[in-house]
Amino acid sequence: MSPALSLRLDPTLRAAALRPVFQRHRRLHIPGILEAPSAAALHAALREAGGWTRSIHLEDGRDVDLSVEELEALPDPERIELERALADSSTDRLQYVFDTVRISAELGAGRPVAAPMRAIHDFINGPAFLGMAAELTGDDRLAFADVMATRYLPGHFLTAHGDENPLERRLYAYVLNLTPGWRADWGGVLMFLDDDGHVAEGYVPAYNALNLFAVPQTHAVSMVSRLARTPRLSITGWIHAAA
Amino acid sequence: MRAHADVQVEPRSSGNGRRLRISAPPAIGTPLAWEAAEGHARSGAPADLVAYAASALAAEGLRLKDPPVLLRHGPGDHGLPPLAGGDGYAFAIDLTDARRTLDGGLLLFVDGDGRAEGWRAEAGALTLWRGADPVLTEMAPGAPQRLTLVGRATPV
Repeated sequence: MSPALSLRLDPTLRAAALRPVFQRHRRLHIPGILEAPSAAALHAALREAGGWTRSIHLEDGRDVDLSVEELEALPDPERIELERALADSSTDRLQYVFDTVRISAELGAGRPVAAPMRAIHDFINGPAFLGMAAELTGDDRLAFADVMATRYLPGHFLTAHGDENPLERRLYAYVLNLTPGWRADWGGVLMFLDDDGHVAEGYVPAYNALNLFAVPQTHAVSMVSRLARTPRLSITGWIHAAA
Repeated sequence: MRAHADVQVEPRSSGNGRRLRISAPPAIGTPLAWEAAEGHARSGAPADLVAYAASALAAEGLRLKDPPVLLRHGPGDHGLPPLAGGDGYAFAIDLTDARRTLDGGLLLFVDGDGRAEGWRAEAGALTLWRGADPVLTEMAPGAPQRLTLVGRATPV
């Protein structure tokens, strides 16, 4: 753990008590997951983080990561046209658009990451967090988690998908939301969809709340509105079984 | 599901929202006088749409409290006029379909804990509620226009 960012779960959390609810519904929203100082520090680290890439996934399977700094350096007409094209839902090609720092991928590739990002990765992969997840799910196969920071700005979204990836042995997905004061009409709602495309259940991204759900489940993140006054920040990823 | 510490919260209905399938809406044959409103455009409803709403509500033991209003949401639009209040009902009847959830224009009922439940637009769907109004989420760029008949109702 980096001394710059010390993260602790809320000690009053009783994960085992939540297990029956999780096992019945395969998903859970847990407010106040971190101690207050940890949540504040993590929020500050994300707010100040650099190195964001704009991640775009096309329906043909291609992932495109564009440097946000390079995007912002484009001449206005070119940037505006690109952003308009990315946000146009009249095409069915896009699967997601949001900003990310792929922390685990960067570490796995041997590239340097900022100390706070390293600390987040270590915390999520540490015994406290993975132990809590194992206790909550009642699943003893949890081996490691991949971790990325995400930042949704107005117009960003994630279309419906189930997270299945047999090669990666994903067991659970998690989203730790870290934007204080988010409003429901700003969008960015984590939505679990039924077979008809209606919203069976959704979670407005509440500050310091963890959403944990079993894979697969069809879910989406609704488009962040132009009304949003602040980015939707979160730490997210999957918890995997050992290879 | 939502939980914390030793508190367990079982699934709830979306609280105040109820969704019903009704007959297909009549075509809008007359030109409408749209006015700009907060986040959308609005118009008075033609007589055949008023009768359509009245018939759907009557099947639920309700009647119109005042004339319904037609709303038009295009890309970037959002929101509903204030509808709920008092001890009556509010309603929204979708007159158009959304192709998919991503198009936005979702009617989302959000409780005080930030838990949401709701529906995308489906022509011929009646949503009834009491209490707090739902959020009508922002329409995505490129999304087809959403037409919705909204109003208030009271028991017969």
